[in-house]
Amino acid sequence: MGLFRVLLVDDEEELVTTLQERLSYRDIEAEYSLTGAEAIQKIREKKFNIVVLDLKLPGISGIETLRVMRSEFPNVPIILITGHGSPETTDDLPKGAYEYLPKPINIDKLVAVMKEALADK
Amino acid sequence: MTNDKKDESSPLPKNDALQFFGVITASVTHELNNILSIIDQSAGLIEDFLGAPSGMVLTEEKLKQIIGKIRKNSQRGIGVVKHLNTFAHSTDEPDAAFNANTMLENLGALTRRFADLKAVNMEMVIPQTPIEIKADAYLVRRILYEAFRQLLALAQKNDTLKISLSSENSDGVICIEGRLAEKKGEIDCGLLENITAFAGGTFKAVAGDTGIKCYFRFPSAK
Repeated sequence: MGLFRVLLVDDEEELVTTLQERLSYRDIEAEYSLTGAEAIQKIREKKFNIVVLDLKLPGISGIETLRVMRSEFPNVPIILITGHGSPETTDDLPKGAYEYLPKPINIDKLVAVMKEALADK
Repeated sequence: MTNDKKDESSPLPKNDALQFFGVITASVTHELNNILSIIDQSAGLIEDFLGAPSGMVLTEEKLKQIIGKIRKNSQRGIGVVKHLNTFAHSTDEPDAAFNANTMLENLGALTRRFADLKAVNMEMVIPQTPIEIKADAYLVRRILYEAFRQLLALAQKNDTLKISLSSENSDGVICIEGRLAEKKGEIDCGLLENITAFAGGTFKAVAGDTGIKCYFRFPSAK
């Protein structure tokens, strides 16, 4: 049993599998979904402590996935990741996310933000 | 006709080209960011092994697997940059003869991500035989993207947008076909017709029960 369980949501499979492996070496248990629909189904079936969610997803968008997860699992922090560049102001961030991390992700920063989000709960 | 004179009489808004390049560039840089992220995380994974306790060994097989991932995504990135560069040069020679096969491959590569994000399939049918046409290479891309954009907006999840190229009486004919699961609106045929004429071609739309076919015909360069 790791420190906590995270759900990684991104349509780039090679990215999430590599992140999953790197997180496992940090004693963090990670699972992944390649679409928003799959992620919503997964979080309904299994308990996750935190979600790391890409904004650009095929089918159901990251924003819609965020909205559904926020409404059904308000206590699960969601960290947004995107290759969209940095937002100009915090007003540009979708509401309901704990933090926004631009790609490429720094793994140490990601782990620090996840621990911070869980400590803030 | 020079580019400046063309701009003055264009049916498109004045800053249209800038917006079009912006839309394409934003999408492509997003994909490049994903590619670089995979390469970056793969390098990080090797670092994890190098700094790990002695129990975690980077085997030759594991190293080969990571290198394979880096190489595959480097090649993917090179392909994306090549397509973006070809696109960037599309305004170099207005009204020059160009290869429609290559142009369509280029446009398909740069726009596929838009279809992927809507979970819409994109089918490209490009013949082996080269089809040379004479038209404004930038405007041809612009009008084809406009038709693609409008049909994609009407498409439902798992629909297919089919884009094909053929030769008819030595003209080059590009067809964009949308299979619409549910008719939610109409496409702007007037706009498509005006821009196609401005690019040096003709436009025709044929509506069926479940979808629409947009035909863009451009004269042969021969």
